[in-house]
Amino acid sequence: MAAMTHAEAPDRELVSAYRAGDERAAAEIVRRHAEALGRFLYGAGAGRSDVDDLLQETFFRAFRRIESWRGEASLRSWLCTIAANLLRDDYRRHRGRTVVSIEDRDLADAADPHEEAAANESEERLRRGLATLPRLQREVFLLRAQQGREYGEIAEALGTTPGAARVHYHHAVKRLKEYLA
Amino acid sequence: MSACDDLSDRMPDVARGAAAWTPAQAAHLAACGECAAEFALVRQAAGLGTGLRSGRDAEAIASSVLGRVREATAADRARRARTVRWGVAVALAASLALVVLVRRPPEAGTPPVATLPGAAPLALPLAEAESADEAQLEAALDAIQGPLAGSSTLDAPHAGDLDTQQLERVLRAWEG
Repeated sequence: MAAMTHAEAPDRELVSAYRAGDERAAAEIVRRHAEALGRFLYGAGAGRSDVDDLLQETFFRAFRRIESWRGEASLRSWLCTIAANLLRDDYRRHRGRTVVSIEDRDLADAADPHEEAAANESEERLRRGLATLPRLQREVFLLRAQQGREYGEIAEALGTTPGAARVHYHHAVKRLKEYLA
Repeated sequence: MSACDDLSDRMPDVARGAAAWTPAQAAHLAACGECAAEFALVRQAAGLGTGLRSGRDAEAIASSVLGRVREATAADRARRARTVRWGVAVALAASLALVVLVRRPPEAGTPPVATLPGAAPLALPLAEAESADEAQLEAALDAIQGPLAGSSTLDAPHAGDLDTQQLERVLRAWEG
């Protein structure tokens, strides 16, 4: 870790450094994965206003049991599975409160508000379509299509086989295409 | 692998800008409606949530999270120390109770252990008989047989030792 800066270090070294007591390594892990993890949570059904809290809780749980990450799956995939479990717990507690309607959302600044609204509407339709999928199909689809993870890695993270992950992905694609048609 | 499967496998990378279509793949995509619809879906998914604005930056999140982790770790340590203290206290109490029970003298009302009259005490506990030598085993057998020898019914008088009158009494008793 001394030879390279935290920003250049691979995840495995950052985790080792954090385990050895280096909190700057933990800050780098957050900086590196927070945005993608927030997008994953949002795609998986978290309300826009809940993403920050869920993100913090995900990192809290991850750092509390960092010993259980043994590096079979990537750190990103591992964090996504923690986030998905957290979201499921949250969903059970609040019975679906986390998915917000498009009317509740604060739209980002845009040069053309109509174009932005249309983009947000199609994004919202996709989120609604994702919400109709079984959990495993949704998580496999997001890890593959949104996060760009390979089937082997997805399988490690979700405790399934690469072949089964591929099947889940194709089922999800088929159902989403039908939903969005 | 079909052209559609081949395209499907590469879609996430192309959608994220990490790879590009080959001319043959681009031609297939232009001609295949199924692949075009799937690629549109994957592209939309790849960009899902890119407009999200976090209310806090990564540094603030890290600082807050690490503060909570430190607090939770300290609470865990305190809980573990309390558990250990309780464990030690219970173990000490149990040891003390055991010592008191083992060293307590027998109560006054306890009945004495019955022994055969004239029996010599065994010098050898039976559990240790296997490791005893021949002399010790013989001593143990003598101690066991000694008191029994005097009470054997095999020493009753034989018929040849009886006089005529005694024999007649015995015969009358048998004949009724």
